[in-house]
Amino acid sequence: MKDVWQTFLDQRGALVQQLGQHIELSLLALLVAVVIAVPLAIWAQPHKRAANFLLQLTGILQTIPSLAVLGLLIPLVGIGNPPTLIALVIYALLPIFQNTYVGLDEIDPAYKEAAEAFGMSRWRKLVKVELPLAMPVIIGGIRTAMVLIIGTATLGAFIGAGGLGTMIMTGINANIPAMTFIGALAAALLALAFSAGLSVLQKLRWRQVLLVLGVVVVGFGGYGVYQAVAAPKDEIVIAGKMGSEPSVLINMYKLLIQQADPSVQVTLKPNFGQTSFLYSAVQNDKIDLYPEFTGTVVTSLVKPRKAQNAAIAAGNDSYPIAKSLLNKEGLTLLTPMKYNNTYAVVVTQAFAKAHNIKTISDLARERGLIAGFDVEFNNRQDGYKGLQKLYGLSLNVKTMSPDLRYSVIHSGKIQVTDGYSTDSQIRQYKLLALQDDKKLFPIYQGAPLMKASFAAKHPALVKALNKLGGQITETQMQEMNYEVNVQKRSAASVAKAFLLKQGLLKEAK
Amino acid sequence: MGEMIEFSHVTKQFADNTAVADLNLAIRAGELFVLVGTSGSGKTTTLKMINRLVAPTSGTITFDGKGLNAFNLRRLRWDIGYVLQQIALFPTMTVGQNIALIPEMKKWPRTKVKQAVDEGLRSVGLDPKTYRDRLPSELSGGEQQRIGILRALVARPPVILMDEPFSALDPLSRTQLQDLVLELHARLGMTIVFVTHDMNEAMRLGDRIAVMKEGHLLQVGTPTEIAEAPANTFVADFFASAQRSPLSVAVASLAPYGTAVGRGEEAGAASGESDLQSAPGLSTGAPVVSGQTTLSELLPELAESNHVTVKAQEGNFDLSASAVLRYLADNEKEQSK
Repeated sequence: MKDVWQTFLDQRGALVQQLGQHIELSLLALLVAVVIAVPLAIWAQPHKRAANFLLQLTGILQTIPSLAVLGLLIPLVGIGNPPTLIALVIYALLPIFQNTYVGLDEIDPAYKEAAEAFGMSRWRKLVKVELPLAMPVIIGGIRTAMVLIIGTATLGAFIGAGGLGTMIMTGINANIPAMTFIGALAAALLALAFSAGLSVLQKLRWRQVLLVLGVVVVGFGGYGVYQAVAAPKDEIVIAGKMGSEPSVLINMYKLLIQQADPSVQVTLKPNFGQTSFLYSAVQNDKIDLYPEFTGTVVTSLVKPRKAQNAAIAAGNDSYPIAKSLLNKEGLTLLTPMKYNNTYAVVVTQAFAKAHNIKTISDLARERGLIAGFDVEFNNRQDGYKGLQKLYGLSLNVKTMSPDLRYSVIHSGKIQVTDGYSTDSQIRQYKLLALQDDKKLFPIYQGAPLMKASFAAKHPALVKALNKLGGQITETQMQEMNYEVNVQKRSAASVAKAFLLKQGLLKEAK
Repeated sequence: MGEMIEFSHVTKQFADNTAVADLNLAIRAGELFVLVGTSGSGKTTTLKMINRLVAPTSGTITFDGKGLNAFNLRRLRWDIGYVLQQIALFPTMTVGQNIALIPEMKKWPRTKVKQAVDEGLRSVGLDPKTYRDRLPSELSGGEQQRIGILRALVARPPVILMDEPFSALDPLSRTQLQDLVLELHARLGMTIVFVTHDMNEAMRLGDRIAVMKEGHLLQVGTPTEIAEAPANTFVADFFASAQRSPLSVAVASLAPYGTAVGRGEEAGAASGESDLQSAPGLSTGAPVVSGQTTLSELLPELAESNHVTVKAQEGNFDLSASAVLRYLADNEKEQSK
């Protein structure tokens, strides 16, 4: 509980920002859904068969899993707000359409007959009689839709739309349950608050409902205009994947770019999403650049030829291959940093000292060691299988879930485990990542990925970012991850301190 | 008097059922015309053909000498008031907004609408200040239908259609509203077409009455004409059944069975009082009913409160449930002789 409170205090800035994004996205989706579904239901009123068809259709749309909807939308509309908005609208259509249709359909025929007999026009009948009578039922549908939207909107974090899902996902990825809990709790409270607000609306008179809706619409319109007017012209958007390391890196990028040209406006989007989202975001100009790894480029983003694959497998530098293949896509990768964020075989520092072990070859001399490996690592050719073949390593392996292995090795129950070479836990638990002296693990070096045309247009920016080329060792990155994940320092301050210490950044006067 | 509405050879066919068959009927300007019949007689269909809620299958209907279809539909309806059995005041609007509906559509100036609403409320016996801004749900059934009638006549249409307007009301309110209709008709002189299944109501209200059965018009005439010379046995029976049933007599005629009370002791409003308060001797606690109420209308009231005070011209009297039973027993003896 204390943990939750502390995390809340640490994250309240991010929480407020994400809450704002969440509300903005949800309300906008709701408004769009209302604007589509209500007139459709009114139109469908005298068309029974069309109404049945629409009910079925919206029902079917709702059964598609939300992640699948997002996945299907990405090739069509890219990432970020548009696909999330569309997905949310799709989910909100059924309850609003259904309730509006049923609400209008169930009006006592006597009222309809009276309106008809008094010589009301179709429009007057609708606005003065039918909609006010159906209003409580319609608002009920909007309420259902609202709760649905707020829940589903957390998935927007997967594709860079922000919102409270970001906090939930960051919590899951960084293994901070308190953060996930806070994000989920905030989403639940938001749903409750909106539901309560709408139930008040349900009891209001028709005119008051219109007034409230008017205020919301005008508010949104005003906010939109403000954003359009206030948006700076030359803005560079840098995004990063989930986790502390990309966040630190993009903060370094920002500092270096602004040192080179203080007039440039740099916007950071940390925890923006997974690899494929960021990659398509660069291609669709949603973002300008993000830090990517050479190993990821050649294994997931481009398709190397056989000879190139063989060269990579032989332990050659994958950067030139990655760069040339990216060029064919109109993209480029700047000079990579020094550290290699790849699989690592990890032992405690005490153990390494006692047995004089520095490399995996040193480890292979030892016998009877117990290792705790992640299931995937245990079965990969570039994992334990490769270690056995290349190094003749022979361990007593127990497979375990990745989030457990560091605490288990810390407790002394195992002597060896797998990890990533820049994990903050290596620093936290006084561990050591052994040198891969026979180069089994592929090389994952980080560098900024951007459109080639963007790089050509911003030579000063490229020069500034290339200052990081060959910088930052694995230990330094572990240290910085430790400072962010364990010591709870902000990624921005950690990035700045490092750059100052390395002399890459001059203190502003 | 000229003809206001005229049906000539009008037939209305619904799927496999003839609701109205070859109807020929003329309703005169300014008369209170009652269509009476059992359910399925076609009386409501006939009424709804006048404001074109129902279109005739064949035949012609004229309004003020012109064919109905020659009129702009909405303007025609603004000139024909309509009162529903379900009352159907729009629950989302205030009383005032309900009344102002047609004047607003007719684009009356705001002040004129407001004035008409207030005057109207006074004319149906409701205080404008108290009632104007209330919602229909805050009103009793009788009060609601007063507003229903006012809504129909506020724009002074030459014709008002009333479709069994009082059948859902309690007997007391029904009598009061019948009185209101008679009074408004006498004062404003519009043509009223009134549909009912209750022969007593027809006799009480109608200048002329049309009796219908299974889509056919059986007889048209003044109440006296129908009473004296029924066109056939159905009309005779329909008329007689209404009259002869011991339950259809006005309660005033039960005076011999009641106990007289002083005029000064009239109770305020009728309400379902507890047995304690309406104990014999405490006549002030009992509900008060009009002498013109029929006995059948009185029964629910009596079941509730065990005895009532009857207001009659010959003097008010207290009537208990056992007194009513005594009357019915006597009546039964009479009948079986």
